[in-house]
Amino acid sequence: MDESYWEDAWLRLKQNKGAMIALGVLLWLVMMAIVGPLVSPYAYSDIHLESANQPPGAKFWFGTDDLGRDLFCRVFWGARISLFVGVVAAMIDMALGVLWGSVAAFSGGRMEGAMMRFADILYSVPQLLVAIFLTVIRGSGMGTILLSMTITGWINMARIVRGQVLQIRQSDFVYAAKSMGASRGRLLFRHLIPNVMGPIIATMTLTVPVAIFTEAFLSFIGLGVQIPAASWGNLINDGLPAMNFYPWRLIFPSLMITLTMLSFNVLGNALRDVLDPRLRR
Amino acid sequence: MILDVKNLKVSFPLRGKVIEAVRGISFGVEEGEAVGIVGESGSGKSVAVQRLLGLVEGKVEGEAWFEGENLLQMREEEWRSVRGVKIGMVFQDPLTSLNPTMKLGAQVMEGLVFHGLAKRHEGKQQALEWLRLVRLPDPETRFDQYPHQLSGGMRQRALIAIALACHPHLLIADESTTALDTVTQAQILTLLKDLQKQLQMTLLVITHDFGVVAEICTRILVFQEGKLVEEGPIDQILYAPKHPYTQMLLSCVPKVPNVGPVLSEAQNPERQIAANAGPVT
Repeated sequence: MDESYWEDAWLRLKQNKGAMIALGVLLWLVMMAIVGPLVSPYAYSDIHLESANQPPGAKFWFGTDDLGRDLFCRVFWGARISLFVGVVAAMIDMALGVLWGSVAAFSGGRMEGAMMRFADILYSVPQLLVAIFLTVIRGSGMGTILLSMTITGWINMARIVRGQVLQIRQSDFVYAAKSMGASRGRLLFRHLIPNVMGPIIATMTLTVPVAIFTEAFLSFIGLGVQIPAASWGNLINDGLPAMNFYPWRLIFPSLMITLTMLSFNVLGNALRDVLDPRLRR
Repeated sequence: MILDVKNLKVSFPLRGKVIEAVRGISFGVEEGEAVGIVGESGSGKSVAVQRLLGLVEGKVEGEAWFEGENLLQMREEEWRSVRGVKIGMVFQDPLTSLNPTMKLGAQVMEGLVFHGLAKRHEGKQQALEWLRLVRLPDPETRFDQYPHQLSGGMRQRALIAIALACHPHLLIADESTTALDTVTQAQILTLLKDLQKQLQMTLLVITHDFGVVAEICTRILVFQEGKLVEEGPIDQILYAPKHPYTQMLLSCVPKVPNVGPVLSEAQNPERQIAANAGPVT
């Protein structure tokens, strides 16, 4: 795609202090998710009953839980799962949404109506219901979480892409390509979609925190990742009853979620601004 | 006769009413001819010609024979073997008719590659050849640049190169100089005229500007409200128009009083530029 468009966007993003801090925090989180569990002397599921509920200190940096598991290791082990689920779900949403939305907008007429009404109907199904339903059928696990999030999650992207493609569908350059004999697929993938990449990326950045939060929520209510595996959701669930006595068990995973959500939202908003073609020049 | 249009009618249903954009037009274009279609905005000249290439929807009646095929009864797949390959089209606005996310060279090559007329490598050579032929300065550099890095005149040259890339037998220029300043306009007209001679192609020029047709056409069709009101050789239309509408159109062309040699030179910037072979914008 247009190099200078991305260069220009990057330059303007760099001027946004909040966005750069958010980007730094996210990079730090990703790095810690990779490195954290490796540098910790304990494994995420190691039980040390003799040192249960230890406060943060030199031995256990984030303290331990009621079974003496190292929270530092568990929090960043959870980061792996949370970030993975968030990014993968956002990518599936993007692929499905971009395809569905652009094909709908490009087809027009009844086809478009049918496709978008189908999306509307699916959108009206509560996500929690889908999650419970799928957990009953398939059992809990990563696959179930991803499936229940993406079954309805792509619709937002589809709507945005449809709107964007509708705007540029009548552009002269699309007609020009058509007058050269370009096939529908070519028009779609070479001419329409590359021109709406900005909003797609911005939307995707805003989808990631929603997916992370949904995963945390599902794990929190026990439908997601199961103990002893750790995710931020079930760590918070685990720490909640001990809030008054061992607050670190709640504070560290909550802090990570908050940081992640905040950073993605700040970054997403900034990206939406710098990638918006209407705000260019 | 390369193009034979018989009783062409194009109409658009709109809220229960039917808008008749083209109301029964018949004309023929001989091979190697340069024909101008003149009319005010809304006279149906663009719709008629774009319908010939299937670029506008709408109900259509009549016949349009092009090299033994009826253009009006083509299906989508058949269109693709006509568009670009047999009939090329240059659009009005050079600023919006190029895909902003594709490099110029890729856009010139695109038609050649997807029509299977050239492999990638040969495509590049041919594309460069076309860029040279349309007198785009420094084609090797321009090949790897994006549309926004080029001036309006350069982009119009590039559009012509794109339209010509697959050697169409008929080139349609739809208001192709309207968006340009008068000096650039004169250069582009000279280019079209030269290319027509050089490549021995047929040219169909749509315009509302008598100056444009006077420059390159040998025959003129005058459209009014979706009908063909007058048709004839250039001299007859310009100097002895019969139809009152043509007389009216011609009376709208501002006349510059000839006050001296300086002004008469300035009246014809194209000749000057052709003589000086000055910088190309």
